[in-house]
Amino acid sequence: MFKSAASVERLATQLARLPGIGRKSAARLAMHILKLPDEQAFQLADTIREVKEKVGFCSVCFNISESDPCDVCTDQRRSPATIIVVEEAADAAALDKVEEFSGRFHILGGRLSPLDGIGPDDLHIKELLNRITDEVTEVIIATNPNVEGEATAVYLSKLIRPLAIKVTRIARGLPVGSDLEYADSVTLSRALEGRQDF
Amino acid sequence: MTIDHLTIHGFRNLQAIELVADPSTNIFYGANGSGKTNLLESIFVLCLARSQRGAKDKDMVSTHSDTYRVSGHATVHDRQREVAVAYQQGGRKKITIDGVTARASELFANFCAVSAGPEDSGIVSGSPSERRGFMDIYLSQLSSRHLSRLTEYQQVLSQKNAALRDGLDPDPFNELLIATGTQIMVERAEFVGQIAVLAAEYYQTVAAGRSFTVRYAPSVSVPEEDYSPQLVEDAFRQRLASVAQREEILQSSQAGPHRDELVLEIDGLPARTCGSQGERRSAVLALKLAVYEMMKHRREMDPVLLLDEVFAELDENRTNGLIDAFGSLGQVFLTTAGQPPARLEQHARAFRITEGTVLKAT
Ligand SMILES: [Zn+2]
Repeated sequence: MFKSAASVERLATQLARLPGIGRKSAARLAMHILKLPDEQAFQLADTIREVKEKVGFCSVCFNISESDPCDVCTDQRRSPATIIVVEEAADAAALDKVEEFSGRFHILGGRLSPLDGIGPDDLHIKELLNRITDEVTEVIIATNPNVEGEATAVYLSKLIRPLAIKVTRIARGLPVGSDLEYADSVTLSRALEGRQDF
Repeated sequence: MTIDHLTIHGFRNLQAIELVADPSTNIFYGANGSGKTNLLESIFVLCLARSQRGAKDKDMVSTHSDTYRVSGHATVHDRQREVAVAYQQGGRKKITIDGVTARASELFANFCAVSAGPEDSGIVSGSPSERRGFMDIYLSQLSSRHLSRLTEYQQVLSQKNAALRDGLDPDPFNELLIATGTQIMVERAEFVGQIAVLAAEYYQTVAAGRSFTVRYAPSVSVPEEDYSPQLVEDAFRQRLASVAQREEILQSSQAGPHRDELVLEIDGLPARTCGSQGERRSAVLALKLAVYEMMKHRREMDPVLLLDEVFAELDENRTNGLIDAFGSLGQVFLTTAGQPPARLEQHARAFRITEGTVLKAT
């Protein structure tokens, strides 16, 4: 039986670790990369290296950023009084398009989902609590309106409420089961206006 | 509502069939395997786009065809409607109402059917999950919100169980469990409250003598059986607090609507273990007729009633009791293996079914 080179197999194994890529497509991709012109293949490798070297996570809000702290955290026009908590960086980007909002973000890096083995310690929750100083007056929880997002919101509100800070939940103006990332800005701004006390 | 005219193509063992139905009682009679139950099933498909026996679409397509199509003229609230349900192997189900493509939920909203037959025996004889299913399937027909709540409850429950298994804090999921679970319990309690009295009455009609009790027994007991949302929510919250430790040890959820029961008793004893087969069948029939009445009330129309082989277990008195009840029901389609009861034949249109085709209409 034909056996491919060890390095090609290694590449396929690594590609298969990426989300949404099965072993078959990983093998196909590895073969494709092997056939690419050298220049193109090296460019891919270099870009991966560049992203990893230059782009990181803001150590304050955990947004993706080329600087640390990120542009949002250092932007003086943004009020430090309001922190909006989201699951992923993409959610922050969607909310940032809404002009009504001029506060700062905190990215949890996921949501509570025991089925996927994700508990509170796997999210940036301790870091959020550390950020809640005297200048913070309101925390808006904008996790997704699905089971896991709601559970995360419940968990956070129980942690934050004893700190005598206003905790609000983004209103259910969003279609049920939807992801923030895909909601349009009109819906998002309406949801922000209609947020409710926990 | 009534089905006035029915056309069937490529459905199970049925030949191409066209029939004009009576607005009151219709009898399909013929030997076992002749196709009379399939005919009933096709009418259910026409009304609700699914099988009352839970069959898959691909299994309802005739072996000689790759498509089934059931269409008909119906009268709903004095208005003529045209409806068709078709399915092609490997494709999607296509529903049209008055020539316009429609979703199954629109079919639920416009038409209404209730069936009773051998496939329902599990409601009395089966496990509690079959009785929960019995409540939920009709609640879902009345409101699509009930179905989405059940789905959400199931998701929350899986997450909570996973948290318990992994030693994570299940508490954030409890709040959601209470929110959706409370609504499910309130709706089930209302449903059972509505059918309990009716079922007891119908049981007297089809099995005179003994008493039939239907009672909702949620896993969270609510004081005084007062199922107003706030009381249910409080009771649920308290119960979850009291079982928290046990849940941690057993690593699974111990309280909530997923453990509800519908208690069915004949003369105060569990119907499942103490009733005779005839009594259990009568209990199922009484429950279904009660659902029929409740649907009629809530939907403000007579559902189409489909009865498969319900006379089989009834003696003459009970058969006559049931036939007398037809007078107050809307359109009924029923099957029987033998010659139809004489008392019934006088007031009904009878269709003799042989080898998948309608031989004679009287
Ligand atoms: Zn930042």
